Amino acid sequence: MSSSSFPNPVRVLRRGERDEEIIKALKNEGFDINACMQCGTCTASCLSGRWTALTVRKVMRKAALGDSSVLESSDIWMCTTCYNCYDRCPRDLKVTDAIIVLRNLASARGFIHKNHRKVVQILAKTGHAVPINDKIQQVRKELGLPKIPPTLAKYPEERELLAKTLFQLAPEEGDEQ
Amino acid sequence: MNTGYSFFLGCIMPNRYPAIESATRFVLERLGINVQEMERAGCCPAPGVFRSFNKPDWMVAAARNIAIAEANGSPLLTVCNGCFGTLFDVNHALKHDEELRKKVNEKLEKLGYHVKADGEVRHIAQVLGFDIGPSGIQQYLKRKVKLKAAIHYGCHFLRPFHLKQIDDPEDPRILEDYFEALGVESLNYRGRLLCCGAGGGVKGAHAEESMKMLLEKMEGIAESGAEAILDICPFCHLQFDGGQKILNEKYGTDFHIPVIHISQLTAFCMGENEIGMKYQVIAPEFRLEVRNPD
Amino acid sequence: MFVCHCGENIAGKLDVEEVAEFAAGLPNVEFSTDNLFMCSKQGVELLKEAVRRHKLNRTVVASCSVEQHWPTFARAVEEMGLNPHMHEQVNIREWVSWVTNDWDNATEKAKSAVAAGVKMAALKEPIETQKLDVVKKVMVIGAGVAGLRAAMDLAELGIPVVLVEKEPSIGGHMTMLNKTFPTDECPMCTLSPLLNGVANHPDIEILTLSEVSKVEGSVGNFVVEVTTKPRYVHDNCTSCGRCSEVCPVEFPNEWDMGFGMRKAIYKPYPQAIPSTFTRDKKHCIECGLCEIVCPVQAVDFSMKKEKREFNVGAIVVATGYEQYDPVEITAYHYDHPNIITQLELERMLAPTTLTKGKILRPSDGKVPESVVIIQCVGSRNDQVGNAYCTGVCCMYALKNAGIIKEHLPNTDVYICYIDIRAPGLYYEEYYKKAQEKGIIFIRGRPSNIEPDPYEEKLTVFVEDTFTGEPVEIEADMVILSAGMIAPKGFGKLGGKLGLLRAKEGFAKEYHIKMGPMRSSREGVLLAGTIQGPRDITKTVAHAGAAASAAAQILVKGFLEKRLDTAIVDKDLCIKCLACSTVCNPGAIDVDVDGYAFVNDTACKSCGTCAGACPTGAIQIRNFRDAQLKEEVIGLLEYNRLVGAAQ
Repeated sequence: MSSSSFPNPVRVLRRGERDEEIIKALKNEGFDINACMQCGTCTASCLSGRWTALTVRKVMRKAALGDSSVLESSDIWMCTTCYNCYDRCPRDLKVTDAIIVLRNLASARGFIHKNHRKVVQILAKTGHAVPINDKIQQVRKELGLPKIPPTLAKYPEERELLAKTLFQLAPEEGDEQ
Repeated sequence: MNTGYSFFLGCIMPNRYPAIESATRFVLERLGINVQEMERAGCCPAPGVFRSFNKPDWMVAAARNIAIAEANGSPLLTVCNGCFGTLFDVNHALKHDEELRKKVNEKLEKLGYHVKADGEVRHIAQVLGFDIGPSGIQQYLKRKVKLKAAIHYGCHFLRPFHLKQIDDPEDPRILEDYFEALGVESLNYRGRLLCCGAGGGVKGAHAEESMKMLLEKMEGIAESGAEAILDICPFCHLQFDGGQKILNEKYGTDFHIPVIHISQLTAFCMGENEIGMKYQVIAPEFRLEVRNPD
Repeated sequence: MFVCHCGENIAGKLDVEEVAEFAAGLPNVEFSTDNLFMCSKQGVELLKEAVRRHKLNRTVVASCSVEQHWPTFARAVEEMGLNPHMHEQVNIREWVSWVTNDWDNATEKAKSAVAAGVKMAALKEPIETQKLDVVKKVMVIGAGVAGLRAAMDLAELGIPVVLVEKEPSIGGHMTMLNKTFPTDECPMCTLSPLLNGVANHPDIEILTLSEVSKVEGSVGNFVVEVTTKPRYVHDNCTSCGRCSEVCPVEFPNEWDMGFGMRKAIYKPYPQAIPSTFTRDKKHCIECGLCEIVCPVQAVDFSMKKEKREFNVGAIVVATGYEQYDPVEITAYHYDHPNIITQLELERMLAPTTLTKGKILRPSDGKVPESVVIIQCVGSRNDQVGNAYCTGVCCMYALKNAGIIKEHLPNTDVYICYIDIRAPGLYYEEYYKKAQEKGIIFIRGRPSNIEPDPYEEKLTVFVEDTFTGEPVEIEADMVILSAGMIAPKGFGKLGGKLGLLRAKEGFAKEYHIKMGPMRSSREGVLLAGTIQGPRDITKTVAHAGAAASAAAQILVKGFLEKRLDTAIVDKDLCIKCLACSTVCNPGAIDVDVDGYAFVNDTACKSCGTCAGACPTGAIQIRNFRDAQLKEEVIGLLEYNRLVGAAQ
């Protein structure tokens, strides 16, 4: 629209430009985003929001408007899933669940932090998000525990089957920072 | 009394804080609770990280762990809030939603498992704090501690409240009541019910932000004059233990407060001397003081 | 046959012309047409003209409900010399057009309903009406401002009133308030003329410490039993207060919300009416000092509970509201001494309480430097089951914030709110005035209040949603604007009165627009907050409307009752009296020969007896088995016809 090279700073609401996938995904999880009255109980509950750019209320607002920037920003990844907002919402909205829905959608579009990709690789390789190492094996022995716990750490074939079946991440779409 | 538990190890306890594992095994043995191993169990998987990538897959992986306990024929026991968050919530969802159970089983059967979701998922803090209880534990104690401590609940033990229904998440007493029965003087401190800042995948991808949240938590604890932090979750444990060192190194603080898991403290009071404090990052020299009988 | 368009209400959803054409072809139909608004003057004239021209002896209007416009058309046919019950109403609006978007099926369904109605019309029997005497007396339950207003309005119309109050004194919540918005008037000053007027009115009998224990009868003639707890002090009490002075028992006064003290023998507040003292048996240690010291021997421990029966023509329910108990929202830690409700603040501000009207921090008596008011506590909250907005809290919060500012100009006063709701004349102006007083408005609902671990202070966590920043407010005191809820005991009373209640617990009104002062039961009216939260202005207006509606029933001296009641066919009656057993209003007696006999006055035409009768001997006029059968046949025949055609 604009002939200048500056992007239009005003968000224009136009029919057909809403990201309906966001709205649909939330609806499928039983989350009625339009029932939010923007009271801010969620933001006020949020430890993360005191230290990061996450403003849960705004995330909910943007999601309700189908604003896809909410998926591209790292804000939704600042939630520690403490469930304070979820338990306190006066409209009884399952806010933390909504954030997970948005993260799932962001992941499906390839917006996954490189460290998170690494964790998935470690899980695939070791069966654990935090794997065993030599030092701990030694400590385990000293404490009278088996050096390797009887978990997936001991079952490589089953690890492989799991890795092939679960958590196939979408290709990188730009690391969310 | 139940005949035993399927002991779910998870990741951080066996692979970072094995002393919590040995202490838990010691406590369960002293309580006469039979421990069944969960052969082939994996990551719970973590409710913050893995659920965020793909919730259906997260459910399948969790259901696999639940199915292993079901095959054992005993309720699943965890010592970690993260594992509890995943396994309890998934078990609850599967129990109450037949459609979902069918869908999860379709994928789970490809892995060679089947979940019924007719059993229970329990946290060690429930078993000690509620089933055995502050008075019930007395007969098992060899000694009590002299310790002023800041108790940290973590998040997924009490929330979401409508699922967990263990204690009021806005003013819980279950851990205070239990730890006080072991001789602990529990301190009220600023941010007592705050998150440690590790969960949700934040620690993994946004370490600095995670440390800022820990800093707020630690300032409240330090202000209270606590001699130790008592927790019920290896991930919170990792955040407090390793995190204090990072804060001291990167942010110029001087925190030096030992972190003790509920299993470690209980094991000590039941007579176990080696609760693994020496393997921890912060205050490896710390030794618990025994309270003289009044 | 007249098919109504009801503007677009019906004609927008189905083909009214087709329905009218269809009806024209039915047996017994002499004339059929459609009309834009049958209830309009033109519509009614059309019907009357058709009756005259075609010499019709039955009419059917297919439009809205019996409740809504049967009376309109019945009156019209009556004017044409027919019995009003010769008119049959078919509802194709609520039952058809309002509940579908399927044009074709709606048209078909309307046709089948019309076919059934025409069948029924052919068999309708004339019904007479009977004049019933009514008792020209009203019972008003609850003596808050609503009950007082209703009692006064009725008494001034010459209708005697029995005013029943469960507390020891009359006046209700309004007497607890310090000021009222939007004029900041003293509520005792504005209320006391009414209080004294009611107390001294020759046509009003006041029963305090009393509750309704039984209700029988029906509109025009209720029999109500009232149980009165003993006061243990006779009416010759001079209110000198010596008994209270010597009483050794002291504890928090309920009326002062714990901000004042009282003795076991007491008057809740100095201006209380009646001024007779009350002995609180639960807390009394029976030392007998009060008996000894009373100069007129009014104290009497031997007084007993009393039951009395009253015959009244109508009942006004004005049992008011209760303040929501914020203890349920545990994140707000209402158990902390420095977190109080607005009603508690109102009492703190009274000169007779412990702080002598000063605003002080309850835990230590310090003058607060920062006060946070939190809105929507227990309102607009699905978690606690109260989705509704109380609609009053914004205004009283503005009022009390202003009062705090007047008392303590150097104190910071915050109001944390979701939306400020101040609609109507003088209310927005009041909001603006509060803004000008320097109150700090924060648009955000606090998530939690954390008591400081080391000091008496509190921290309120809230997002300033205008800046989008999380904010912490350090507060010496927090005041919760707790919403209004239905009073706890109302389920019991509502049950005795046979009232429907809304899911929120309030009494359900007859119609939210056209009958907010009528209840679900004829002859029982609603006044004030028992029907839903509202402020004093609206309560007084509502109470006046309830009084007027009660008077309407009684001023004529009689009711006209339609005798479409139950009737017994003695040839079929086997004297089993199953009908009498199931009859809820107790309208069925036995005659001298042992047959069931219906008391038309008491019969509610509910038809339960007809269902219970093994032989079909007892029937409801115009709802007889034979008539209903014909109606059903009409419906089924049409459906078969259509089914065969398809």
